Amino acid sequence: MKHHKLLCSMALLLAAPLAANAQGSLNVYGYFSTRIEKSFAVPDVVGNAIVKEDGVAEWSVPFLNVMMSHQISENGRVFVNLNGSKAGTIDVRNFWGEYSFAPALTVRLGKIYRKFGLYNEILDAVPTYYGIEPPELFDGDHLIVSRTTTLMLYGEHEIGPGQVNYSVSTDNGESGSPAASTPLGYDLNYKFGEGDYTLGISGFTSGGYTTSDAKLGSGSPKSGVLPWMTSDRFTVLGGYGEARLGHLTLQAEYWRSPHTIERDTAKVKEVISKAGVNAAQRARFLKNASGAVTGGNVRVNDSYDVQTYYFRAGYSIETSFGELGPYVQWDWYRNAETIGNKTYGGDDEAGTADDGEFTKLTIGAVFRPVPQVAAKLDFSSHNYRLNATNVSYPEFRFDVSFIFGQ
Amino acid sequence: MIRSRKPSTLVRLATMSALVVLLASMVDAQISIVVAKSSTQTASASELKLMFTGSKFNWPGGTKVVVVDQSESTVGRAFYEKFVGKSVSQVRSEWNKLVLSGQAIGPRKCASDEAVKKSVAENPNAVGFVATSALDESVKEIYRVIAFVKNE
Repeated sequence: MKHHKLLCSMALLLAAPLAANAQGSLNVYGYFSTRIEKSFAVPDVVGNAIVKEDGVAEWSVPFLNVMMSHQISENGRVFVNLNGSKAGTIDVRNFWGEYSFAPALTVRLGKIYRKFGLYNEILDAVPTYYGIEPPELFDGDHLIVSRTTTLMLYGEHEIGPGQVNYSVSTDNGESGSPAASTPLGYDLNYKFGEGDYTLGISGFTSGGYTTSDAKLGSGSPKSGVLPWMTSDRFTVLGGYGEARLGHLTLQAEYWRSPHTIERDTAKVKEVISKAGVNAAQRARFLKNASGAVTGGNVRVNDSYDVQTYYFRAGYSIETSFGELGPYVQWDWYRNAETIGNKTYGGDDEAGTADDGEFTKLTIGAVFRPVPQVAAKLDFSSHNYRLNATNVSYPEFRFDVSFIFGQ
Repeated sequence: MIRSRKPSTLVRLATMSALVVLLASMVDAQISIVVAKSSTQTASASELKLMFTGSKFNWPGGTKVVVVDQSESTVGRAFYEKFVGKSVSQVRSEWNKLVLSGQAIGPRKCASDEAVKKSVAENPNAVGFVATSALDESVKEIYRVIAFVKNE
Protein backbone atom coordinates (compact mmCIF):
# COMPACT_ATOMS: atom_id res chain seq x y z
CA MET A 1 0.00 0.00 0.00
CA LYS A 2 2.76 2.35 0.93
CA HIS A 3 4.42 1.66 -2.42
CA HIS A 4 1.20 2.54 -4.24
CA LYS A 5 0.89 5.80 -2.32
CA LEU A 6 4.46 6.69 -3.14
CA LEU A 7 4.07 5.88 -6.80
CA CYS A 8 0.80 7.84 -7.04
CA SER A 9 2.36 10.84 -5.31
CA MET A 10 5.40 10.74 -7.54
CA ALA A 11 3.24 10.33 -10.66
CA LEU A 12 1.21 13.37 -9.68
CA LEU A 13 4.34 15.38 -9.16
CA LEU A 14 5.77 14.26 -12.47
CA ALA A 15 2.52 15.12 -14.19
CA ALA A 16 3.01 18.71 -13.08
CA PRO A 17 4.34 21.09 -15.70
CA LEU A 18 7.75 19.64 -16.34
CA ALA A 19 8.13 21.81 -19.37
CA ALA A 20 7.69 24.95 -17.33
CA ASN A 21 11.33 25.07 -16.41
CA ALA A 22 11.58 28.79 -16.52
CA GLN A 23 12.27 31.41 -13.92
CA GLY A 24 9.02 32.91 -12.74
CA SER A 25 6.96 29.74 -12.89
CA LEU A 26 6.68 26.48 -10.98
CA ASN A 27 9.59 24.20 -11.77
CA VAL A 28 9.35 20.49 -11.06
CA TYR A 29 12.51 18.47 -11.50
CA GLY A 30 14.77 16.02 -9.73
CA TYR A 31 16.70 12.83 -10.30
CA PHE A 32 16.58 9.07 -10.09
CA SER A 33 19.57 7.17 -8.78
CA THR A 34 20.59 3.66 -7.90
CA ARG A 35 23.79 2.12 -6.58
CA ILE A 36 25.52 -1.21 -6.28
CA GLU A 37 28.25 -1.58 -3.67
CA LYS A 38 30.30 -4.39 -2.28
CA SER A 39 33.23 -4.68 0.11
CA PHE A 40 35.77 -7.50 0.15
CA ALA A 41 37.81 -9.19 2.89
CA VAL A 42 36.50 -6.99 5.70
CA PRO A 43 38.57 -7.72 8.81
CA ASP A 44 36.95 -8.59 12.14
CA VAL A 45 38.27 -9.81 15.48
CA VAL A 46 37.14 -13.31 16.51
CA GLY A 47 38.65 -14.45 19.76
CA ASN A 48 42.01 -12.79 19.51
CA ALA A 49 42.51 -13.39 15.80
CA ILE A 50 41.64 -11.28 12.77
CA VAL A 51 39.41 -13.01 10.25
CA LYS A 52 38.34 -11.59 6.90
CA GLU A 53 34.97 -11.96 5.26
CA ASP A 54 33.45 -10.46 2.12
CA GLY A 55 30.63 -8.03 2.67
CA VAL A 56 27.20 -8.61 1.16
CA ALA A 57 26.67 -6.92 -2.20
CA GLU A 58 24.07 -4.19 -1.77
CA TRP A 59 21.94 -2.88 -4.60
CA SER A 60 19.97 0.07 -3.32
CA VAL A 61 16.33 0.42 -4.25
CA PRO A 62 16.27 3.06 -6.98
CA PHE A 63 15.44 6.29 -5.24
CA LEU A 64 13.96 9.50 -6.41
CA ASN A 65 14.45 13.10 -5.41
CA VAL A 66 11.67 15.39 -6.58
CA MET A 67 12.17 19.13 -6.21
CA MET A 68 9.77 21.97 -6.75
CA SER A 69 10.80 25.58 -6.90
CA HIS A 70 8.53 28.53 -7.38
CA GLN A 71 9.49 32.18 -7.74
CA ILE A 72 6.40 33.74 -6.20
CA SER A 73 7.60 37.28 -6.72
CA GLU A 74 10.79 38.97 -7.79
CA ASN A 75 12.12 38.63 -4.25
CA GLY A 76 10.18 35.68 -2.86
CA ARG A 77 10.72 32.00 -3.53
CA VAL A 78 9.63 28.63 -2.12
CA PHE A 79 11.39 25.27 -2.49
CA VAL A 80 10.43 21.68 -1.66
CA ASN A 81 12.78 18.70 -1.84
CA LEU A 82 11.12 15.30 -1.42
CA ASN A 83 13.09 12.09 -1.21
CA GLY A 84 11.67 8.60 -1.78
CA SER A 85 14.85 6.79 -0.83
CA LYS A 86 13.22 3.67 0.59
CA ALA A 87 10.56 3.39 -2.12
CA GLY A 88 7.94 3.13 0.62
CA THR A 89 8.11 6.44 2.42
CA ILE A 90 8.52 10.04 1.40
CA ASP A 91 10.98 12.10 3.36
CA VAL A 92 10.72 15.88 3.22
CA ARG A 93 14.38 16.75 2.96
CA ASN A 94 13.75 20.49 2.62
CA PHE A 95 10.79 22.78 2.66
CA TRP A 96 11.40 26.48 2.87
CA GLY A 97 10.37 29.95 1.80
CA GLU A 98 12.65 32.93 1.47
CA TYR A 99 12.46 36.64 0.90
CA SER A 100 15.34 38.69 -0.42
CA PHE A 101 15.45 42.26 0.90
CA ALA A 102 18.67 42.89 -1.03
CA PRO A 103 21.51 40.77 -2.41
CA ALA A 104 23.19 41.24 0.98
CA LEU A 105 20.21 40.05 3.01
CA THR A 106 17.85 37.15 2.38
CA VAL A 107 15.76 35.50 5.09
CA ARG A 108 14.96 31.79 4.69
CA LEU A 109 12.58 29.87 6.98
CA GLY A 110 11.67 26.19 7.01
CA LYS A 111 13.61 22.95 6.97
CA ILE A 112 16.84 24.17 5.44
CA TYR A 113 20.19 22.64 4.66
CA ARG A 114 22.94 24.54 6.40
CA LYS A 115 25.41 26.42 4.28
CA PHE A 116 28.35 24.49 5.67
CA GLY A 117 31.58 23.79 3.85
CA LEU A 118 31.65 22.94 0.17
CA TYR A 119 29.18 20.12 0.32
CA ASN A 120 26.29 20.19 2.75
CA GLU A 121 23.91 22.10 0.52
CA ILE A 122 24.73 20.12 -2.58
CA LEU A 123 24.72 16.58 -1.17
CA ASP A 124 21.40 15.96 -2.93
CA ALA A 125 22.97 17.00 -6.21
CA VAL A 126 24.82 13.69 -6.36
CA PRO A 127 24.71 13.33 -10.16
CA THR A 128 26.72 16.49 -10.67
CA TYR A 129 29.83 16.16 -8.52
CA TYR A 130 32.94 14.04 -8.38
CA GLY A 131 32.66 11.07 -6.06
CA ILE A 132 29.78 8.95 -4.83
CA GLU A 133 30.17 9.05 -1.07
CA PRO A 134 29.83 12.33 0.84
CA PRO A 135 32.85 13.64 2.72
CA GLU A 136 33.14 11.95 6.15
CA LEU A 137 31.90 15.16 7.77
CA PHE A 138 28.46 14.41 6.32
CA ASP A 139 28.48 10.63 6.26
CA GLY A 140 25.12 9.49 7.66
CA ASP A 141 26.80 7.12 10.16
CA HIS A 142 28.81 9.84 11.82
CA LEU A 143 27.53 13.32 11.18
CA ILE A 144 29.51 15.84 13.17
CA VAL A 145 26.66 18.35 12.94
CA SER A 146 23.00 18.11 11.92
CA ARG A 147 22.47 18.84 8.23
CA THR A 148 19.38 21.03 8.57
CA THR A 149 18.42 24.16 10.42
CA THR A 150 15.29 26.31 10.68
CA LEU A 151 16.03 30.00 10.28
CA MET A 152 18.77 31.41 8.13
CA LEU A 153 19.97 34.85 7.12
CA TYR A 154 22.33 34.91 4.18
CA GLY A 155 23.65 37.22 1.54
CA GLU A 156 26.45 38.28 -0.73
CA HIS A 157 28.51 41.39 -1.24
CA GLU A 158 31.17 42.21 -3.80
CA ILE A 159 34.51 43.09 -2.30
CA GLY A 160 37.66 43.58 -4.36
CA PRO A 161 37.94 41.11 -7.22
CA GLY A 162 35.42 38.69 -5.74
CA GLN A 163 32.30 38.14 -3.74
CA VAL A 164 31.83 37.54 -0.02
CA ASN A 165 29.01 35.15 0.91
CA TYR A 166 27.79 34.67 4.45
CA SER A 167 25.09 32.81 6.34
CA VAL A 168 23.95 32.67 9.95
CA SER A 169 21.43 30.10 11.13
CA THR A 170 19.69 28.85 14.24
CA ASP A 171 17.01 26.36 15.33
CA ASN A 172 15.64 24.51 18.33
CA GLY A 173 18.82 22.57 18.90
CA GLU A 174 19.86 18.96 18.52
CA SER A 175 17.29 17.63 20.95
CA GLY A 176 14.50 19.76 19.54
CA SER A 177 13.92 21.53 22.85
CA PRO A 178 14.09 25.32 22.51
CA ALA A 179 14.82 25.72 26.22
CA ALA A 180 17.82 23.41 26.17
CA SER A 181 20.15 25.44 24.01
CA THR A 182 20.43 28.11 21.34
CA PRO A 183 22.58 26.75 18.57
CA LEU A 184 24.24 28.97 16.01
CA GLY A 185 25.67 27.98 12.66
CA TYR A 186 27.68 30.23 10.40
CA ASP A 187 29.50 30.19 7.09
CA LEU A 188 31.68 32.78 5.44
CA ASN A 189 33.42 32.39 2.12
CA TYR A 190 35.07 34.42 -0.58
CA LYS A 191 34.72 33.53 -4.26
CA PHE A 192 37.09 35.12 -6.71
CA GLY A 193 38.76 34.58 -10.08
CA GLU A 194 35.39 34.64 -11.89
CA GLY A 195 34.02 32.12 -9.42
CA ASP A 196 36.80 29.59 -9.96
CA TYR A 197 38.34 29.96 -6.49
CA THR A 198 36.60 29.64 -3.13
CA LEU A 199 38.02 29.98 0.35
CA GLY A 200 35.79 29.71 3.39
CA ILE A 201 35.16 28.83 7.00
CA SER A 202 32.10 27.34 8.64
CA GLY A 203 31.28 26.87 12.27
CA PHE A 204 28.64 25.73 14.70
CA THR A 205 28.06 25.95 18.41
CA SER A 206 25.43 23.94 20.25
CA GLY A 207 24.82 27.03 22.38
CA GLY A 208 24.80 25.09 25.63
CA TYR A 209 24.32 21.52 26.75
CA THR A 210 22.16 19.46 24.43
CA THR A 211 21.07 15.85 23.98
CA SER A 212 20.97 13.34 21.16
CA ASP A 213 18.11 13.14 18.68
CA ALA A 214 18.42 9.33 18.61
CA LYS A 215 17.38 6.91 21.34
CA LEU A 216 19.93 4.32 22.33
CA GLY A 217 19.38 1.23 20.17
CA SER A 218 17.57 3.08 17.38
CA GLY A 219 20.48 3.72 15.05
CA SER A 220 22.82 6.55 14.23
CA PRO A 221 21.93 10.08 15.35
CA LYS A 222 21.25 12.73 12.76
CA SER A 223 23.41 15.18 14.65
CA GLY A 224 26.75 15.33 16.40
CA VAL A 225 25.53 14.04 19.80
CA LEU A 226 25.93 10.32 20.55
CA PRO A 227 22.92 8.60 22.16
CA TRP A 228 24.63 7.57 25.42
CA MET A 229 25.10 11.17 26.57
CA THR A 230 23.09 12.87 29.29
CA SER A 231 24.33 16.14 27.84
CA ASP A 232 26.87 17.36 25.33
CA ARG A 233 28.14 20.87 24.65
CA PHE A 234 30.07 21.06 21.42
CA THR A 235 31.34 23.27 18.67
CA VAL A 236 32.48 22.67 15.10
CA LEU A 237 34.95 24.84 13.25
CA GLY A 238 36.74 24.28 9.98
CA GLY A 239 37.89 25.66 6.69
CA TYR A 240 37.62 24.73 3.06
CA GLY A 241 38.91 25.67 -0.35
CA GLU A 242 38.21 24.92 -3.97
CA ALA A 243 40.10 25.80 -7.14
CA ARG A 244 38.89 25.14 -10.64
CA LEU A 245 41.89 25.40 -12.93
CA GLY A 246 40.54 24.87 -16.41
CA HIS A 247 39.44 21.25 -16.49
CA LEU A 248 41.00 20.45 -13.10
CA THR A 249 39.03 20.81 -9.84
CA LEU A 250 40.84 20.71 -6.49
CA GLN A 251 39.03 20.67 -3.15
CA ALA A 252 40.10 20.42 0.48
CA GLU A 253 38.34 20.70 3.84
CA TYR A 254 39.38 20.34 7.50
CA TRP A 255 37.08 20.21 10.53
CA ARG A 256 37.47 19.90 14.29
CA SER A 257 34.66 19.39 16.76
CA PRO A 258 35.47 19.46 20.51
CA HIS A 259 32.81 17.97 22.83
CA THR A 260 32.36 18.43 26.59
CA ILE A 261 30.17 15.55 27.67
CA GLU A 262 28.29 13.96 30.51
CA ARG A 263 27.64 10.25 29.91
CA ASP A 264 24.47 8.52 31.10
CA THR A 265 25.60 5.68 33.37
CA ALA A 266 22.69 3.36 32.54
CA LYS A 267 23.15 3.85 28.80
CA VAL A 268 26.91 3.31 29.00
CA LYS A 269 26.31 0.07 30.90
CA GLU A 270 23.90 -1.02 28.15
CA VAL A 271 26.38 -0.10 25.41
CA ILE A 272 29.17 -2.08 27.06
CA SER A 273 27.01 -5.13 27.75
CA LYS A 274 24.98 -5.26 24.52
CA ALA A 275 26.69 -3.29 21.75
CA GLY A 276 30.18 -4.56 22.26
CA VAL A 277 33.15 -2.23 22.69
CA ASN A 278 36.86 -2.66 22.14
CA ALA A 279 39.53 -2.26 24.78
CA ALA A 280 40.18 1.43 24.08
CA GLN A 281 36.48 2.27 24.22
CA ARG A 282 36.06 0.32 27.46
CA ALA A 283 38.97 2.25 28.91
CA ARG A 284 37.31 5.52 27.91
CA PHE A 285 33.93 4.62 29.35
CA LEU A 286 35.12 3.11 32.65
CA LYS A 287 37.32 4.51 35.39
CA ASN A 288 38.75 1.05 35.92
CA ALA A 289 38.70 -0.77 32.58
CA SER A 290 39.25 -4.17 34.18
CA GLY A 291 36.65 -3.54 36.86
CA ALA A 292 32.97 -4.44 36.93
CA VAL A 293 30.52 -2.53 34.73
CA THR A 294 28.73 -0.67 37.48
CA GLY A 295 27.27 2.82 37.64
CA GLY A 296 30.03 3.87 40.01
CA ASN A 297 32.71 2.73 37.57
CA VAL A 298 31.37 4.72 34.58
CA ARG A 299 33.41 7.79 33.74
CA VAL A 300 30.61 10.36 33.55
CA ASN A 301 32.29 13.69 32.81
CA ASP A 302 34.70 13.69 29.90
CA SER A 303 35.66 15.41 26.66
CA TYR A 304 36.73 14.37 23.22
CA ASP A 305 37.49 15.77 19.76
CA VAL A 306 36.27 14.71 16.35
CA GLN A 307 38.57 15.67 13.50
CA THR A 308 38.35 15.07 9.78
CA TYR A 309 39.82 16.30 6.52
CA TYR A 310 39.79 15.37 2.87
CA PHE A 311 41.45 16.25 -0.40
CA ARG A 312 39.84 15.66 -3.74
CA ALA A 313 41.00 16.19 -7.32
CA GLY A 314 38.86 15.69 -10.40
CA TYR A 315 39.58 16.27 -14.06
CA SER A 316 37.05 16.84 -16.82
CA ILE A 317 37.85 15.38 -20.23
CA GLU A 318 35.58 16.19 -23.15
CA THR A 319 35.23 13.30 -25.58
CA SER A 320 33.01 12.73 -28.59
CA PHE A 321 30.98 10.34 -26.39
CA GLY A 322 30.46 12.77 -23.52
CA GLU A 323 32.34 14.02 -20.47
CA LEU A 324 34.70 11.72 -18.59
CA GLY A 325 35.86 12.79 -15.14
CA PRO A 326 38.45 10.73 -13.31
CA TYR A 327 38.88 11.66 -9.65
CA VAL A 328 40.85 10.77 -6.56
CA GLN A 329 40.01 11.48 -2.91
CA TRP A 330 41.79 11.03 0.39
CA ASP A 331 39.73 11.06 3.61
CA TRP A 332 40.91 11.01 7.21
CA TYR A 333 38.55 10.83 10.18
CA ARG A 334 39.04 10.35 13.93
CA ASN A 335 36.44 9.95 16.66
CA ALA A 336 37.61 8.08 19.74
CA GLU A 337 34.22 8.20 21.47
CA THR A 338 32.13 6.29 18.93
CA ILE A 339 31.64 2.53 18.89
CA GLY A 340 31.35 0.04 16.02
CA ASN A 341 27.74 -1.02 16.49
CA LYS A 342 25.48 1.12 14.27
CA THR A 343 22.28 -0.03 15.97
CA TYR A 344 23.51 1.61 19.16
CA GLY A 345 24.39 4.83 17.36
CA GLY A 346 27.94 3.90 16.44
CA ASP A 347 29.92 3.95 13.24
CA ASP A 348 31.30 0.75 11.71
CA GLU A 349 34.36 2.57 10.37
CA ALA A 350 35.78 4.79 13.14
CA GLY A 351 34.05 2.75 15.85
CA THR A 352 35.64 -0.49 14.67
CA ALA A 353 39.17 0.91 14.74
CA ASP A 354 41.25 0.53 17.90
CA ASP A 355 41.76 4.27 18.17
CA GLY A 356 38.69 5.58 16.32
CA GLU A 357 40.79 6.63 13.34
CA PHE A 358 40.66 5.57 9.71
CA THR A 359 41.77 6.75 6.28
CA LYS A 360 40.17 6.09 2.95
CA LEU A 361 41.70 6.40 -0.52
CA THR A 362 39.15 6.54 -3.33
CA ILE A 363 39.83 6.42 -7.05
CA GLY A 364 36.98 6.62 -9.51
CA ALA A 365 35.52 8.14 -12.64
CA VAL A 366 32.26 9.73 -13.65
CA PHE A 367 30.96 9.48 -17.19
CA ARG A 368 28.28 11.82 -18.50
CA PRO A 369 27.17 10.91 -22.04
CA VAL A 370 24.75 13.84 -21.74
CA PRO A 371 24.57 16.36 -18.88
CA GLN A 372 21.43 14.69 -17.48
CA VAL A 373 22.94 11.21 -17.09
CA ALA A 374 25.87 10.24 -14.87
CA ALA A 375 27.44 6.85 -14.31
CA LYS A 376 30.11 6.65 -11.63
CA LEU A 377 32.44 3.84 -10.65
CA ASP A 378 34.84 4.06 -7.74
CA PHE A 379 37.07 1.92 -5.58
CA SER A 380 38.05 2.71 -1.99
CA SER A 381 40.68 1.31 0.31
CA HIS A 382 39.71 1.61 4.00
CA ASN A 383 42.71 1.62 6.32
CA TYR A 384 42.76 1.46 10.13
CA ARG A 385 44.21 -0.34 13.16
CA LEU A 386 42.38 -3.36 14.45
CA ASN A 387 43.57 -5.51 17.35
CA ALA A 388 46.93 -3.69 17.25
CA THR A 389 47.40 -4.57 13.56
CA ASN A 390 47.21 -2.32 10.49
CA VAL A 391 44.37 -3.62 8.32
CA SER A 392 42.61 -2.54 5.16
CA TYR A 393 39.85 -3.70 2.90
CA PRO A 394 38.63 -2.66 -0.56
CA GLU A 395 35.16 -1.57 -1.53
CA PHE A 396 33.66 -0.74 -4.92
CA ARG A 397 30.56 1.23 -5.84
CA PHE A 398 28.72 1.80 -9.10
CA ASP A 399 26.14 4.53 -9.30
CA VAL A 400 23.81 5.62 -12.11
CA SER A 401 21.62 8.70 -12.01
CA PHE A 402 19.30 10.53 -14.32
CA ILE A 403 18.19 14.14 -13.93
CA PHE A 404 14.73 15.00 -15.21
CA GLY A 405 12.92 18.28 -15.74
CA GLN A 406 16.15 20.19 -16.45
CA MET B 1 75.97 17.11 -46.38
CA ILE B 2 73.48 19.23 -44.51
CA ARG B 3 69.85 18.56 -45.29
CA SER B 4 67.55 21.51 -45.69
CA ARG B 5 65.03 21.87 -42.83
CA LYS B 6 62.67 23.92 -44.98
CA PRO B 7 59.43 22.07 -45.79
CA SER B 8 59.17 20.97 -49.35
CA THR B 9 56.80 22.72 -51.73
CA LEU B 10 54.58 19.65 -51.61
CA VAL B 11 54.33 19.75 -47.81
CA ARG B 12 53.57 23.48 -47.87
CA LEU B 13 50.89 22.99 -50.49
CA ALA B 14 49.34 20.18 -48.44
CA THR B 15 49.37 22.28 -45.28
CA MET B 16 47.79 25.24 -47.03
CA SER B 17 45.12 23.03 -48.56
CA ALA B 18 44.29 21.58 -45.15
CA LEU B 19 43.99 25.08 -43.71
CA VAL B 20 41.72 26.16 -46.56
CA VAL B 21 39.50 23.12 -45.97
CA LEU B 22 39.46 23.80 -42.22
CA LEU B 23 38.57 27.46 -42.63
CA ALA B 24 35.93 26.62 -45.20
CA SER B 25 34.24 24.46 -42.58
CA MET B 26 34.24 27.31 -40.05
CA VAL B 27 32.49 30.62 -40.24
CA ASP B 28 33.66 33.73 -38.46
CA ALA B 29 30.67 34.37 -36.23
CA GLN B 30 29.96 37.20 -33.91
CA ILE B 31 27.74 36.57 -30.95
CA SER B 32 25.85 39.33 -29.18
CA ILE B 33 24.85 39.32 -25.54
CA VAL B 34 21.47 41.01 -25.45
CA VAL B 35 18.89 42.50 -23.12
CA ALA B 36 15.41 43.79 -23.87
CA LYS B 37 15.24 46.95 -25.92
CA SER B 38 13.66 48.80 -23.00
CA SER B 39 16.10 47.42 -20.42
CA THR B 40 18.58 49.67 -18.65
CA GLN B 41 20.67 46.75 -17.38
CA THR B 42 24.32 46.46 -18.27
CA ALA B 43 27.31 44.58 -16.90
CA SER B 44 31.00 43.99 -17.52
CA ALA B 45 32.27 40.96 -19.43
CA SER B 46 33.42 39.41 -16.18
CA GLU B 47 30.01 39.89 -14.56
CA LEU B 48 28.26 38.47 -17.61
CA LYS B 49 30.45 35.34 -17.47
CA LEU B 50 29.47 34.84 -13.84
CA MET B 51 25.78 35.23 -14.70
CA PHE B 52 25.91 32.61 -17.46
CA THR B 53 27.72 30.12 -15.20
CA GLY B 54 25.41 30.54 -12.20
CA SER B 55 27.98 32.33 -10.04
CA LYS B 56 26.17 35.67 -9.98
CA PHE B 57 22.42 36.07 -9.69
CA ASN B 58 21.99 39.85 -9.70
CA TRP B 59 22.60 42.75 -12.03
CA PRO B 60 25.10 45.31 -10.68
CA GLY B 61 22.17 47.36 -9.33
CA GLY B 62 20.88 44.41 -7.30
CA THR B 63 17.97 43.31 -9.49
CA LYS B 64 17.71 39.55 -9.98
CA VAL B 65 18.96 38.46 -13.39
CA VAL B 66 17.00 36.04 -15.58
CA VAL B 67 19.38 34.02 -17.74
CA VAL B 68 18.18 32.84 -21.15
CA ASP B 69 20.20 30.01 -22.62
CA GLN B 70 20.55 28.22 -25.94
CA SER B 71 23.42 25.91 -25.02
CA GLU B 72 22.24 23.09 -27.30
CA SER B 73 22.72 25.20 -30.43
CA THR B 74 25.88 25.77 -32.48
CA VAL B 75 25.93 29.38 -31.32
CA GLY B 76 25.56 28.18 -27.72
CA ARG B 77 28.50 25.80 -27.90
CA ALA B 78 30.70 28.50 -29.45
CA PHE B 79 29.55 31.05 -26.86
CA TYR B 80 30.49 28.91 -23.88
CA GLU B 81 33.81 27.76 -25.35
CA LYS B 82 34.89 31.22 -26.49
CA PHE B 83 33.34 33.65 -23.99
CA VAL B 84 32.98 31.63 -20.80
CA GLY B 85 36.00 29.39 -21.41
CA LYS B 86 34.15 26.21 -20.44
CA SER B 87 32.39 23.45 -22.30
CA VAL B 88 28.61 23.30 -22.39
CA SER B 89 28.82 20.10 -20.33
CA GLN B 90 30.84 21.83 -17.58
CA VAL B 91 28.47 24.78 -17.45
CA ARG B 92 25.36 22.58 -17.42
CA SER B 93 26.88 20.54 -14.61
CA GLU B 94 27.42 23.68 -12.53
CA TRP B 95 23.85 24.81 -13.13
CA ASN B 96 22.49 21.35 -12.27
CA LYS B 97 24.41 21.45 -8.99
CA LEU B 98 22.79 24.77 -8.08
CA VAL B 99 19.31 23.79 -9.23
CA LEU B 100 19.29 20.36 -7.55
CA SER B 101 20.30 21.95 -4.25
CA GLY B 102 17.66 24.67 -4.50
CA GLN B 103 20.26 27.43 -4.63
CA ALA B 104 19.09 28.73 -7.97
CA ILE B 105 16.46 28.44 -10.64
CA GLY B 106 17.92 27.25 -13.91
CA PRO B 107 18.18 29.36 -17.03
CA ARG B 108 15.27 29.61 -19.44
CA LYS B 109 16.11 27.22 -22.24
CA CYS B 110 15.59 28.19 -25.86
CA ALA B 111 16.35 26.36 -29.07
CA SER B 112 17.08 29.23 -31.44
CA ASP B 113 18.04 32.88 -31.77
CA GLU B 114 14.41 33.75 -32.41
CA ALA B 115 13.26 32.08 -29.20
CA VAL B 116 16.01 33.81 -27.20
CA LYS B 117 15.07 37.23 -28.58
CA LYS B 118 11.40 36.64 -27.78
CA SER B 119 12.19 35.53 -24.22
CA VAL B 120 14.64 38.38 -23.57
CA ALA B 121 12.33 41.01 -25.06
CA GLU B 122 9.59 40.05 -22.60
CA ASN B 123 11.65 40.67 -19.44
CA PRO B 124 13.71 43.79 -18.67
CA ASN B 125 15.89 41.76 -16.27
CA ALA B 126 16.68 38.99 -18.74
CA VAL B 127 19.97 38.44 -20.54
CA GLY B 128 20.67 36.06 -23.42
CA PHE B 129 22.90 35.63 -26.42
CA VAL B 130 22.23 35.36 -30.15
CA ALA B 131 24.23 35.37 -33.36
CA THR B 132 24.94 39.02 -34.16
CA SER B 133 23.48 38.49 -37.63
CA ALA B 134 20.14 37.74 -35.93
CA LEU B 135 19.96 41.07 -34.04
CA ASP B 136 16.80 43.08 -34.60
CA GLU B 137 14.73 45.85 -32.99
CA SER B 138 13.36 43.66 -30.20
CA VAL B 139 16.63 43.42 -28.26
CA LYS B 140 19.68 45.52 -27.43
CA GLU B 141 23.29 44.38 -27.63
CA ILE B 142 25.37 44.98 -24.49
CA TYR B 143 28.47 42.95 -25.38
CA ARG B 144 29.89 41.27 -28.49
CA VAL B 145 31.88 38.05 -28.63
CA ILE B 146 33.85 36.99 -31.70
CA ALA B 147 34.07 33.27 -32.19
CA PHE B 148 34.73 30.72 -34.87
CA VAL B 149 31.72 28.50 -35.26
CA LYS B 150 31.90 25.15 -37.01
CA ASN B 151 29.70 25.32 -40.08
CA GLU B 152 27.24 22.44 -39.65
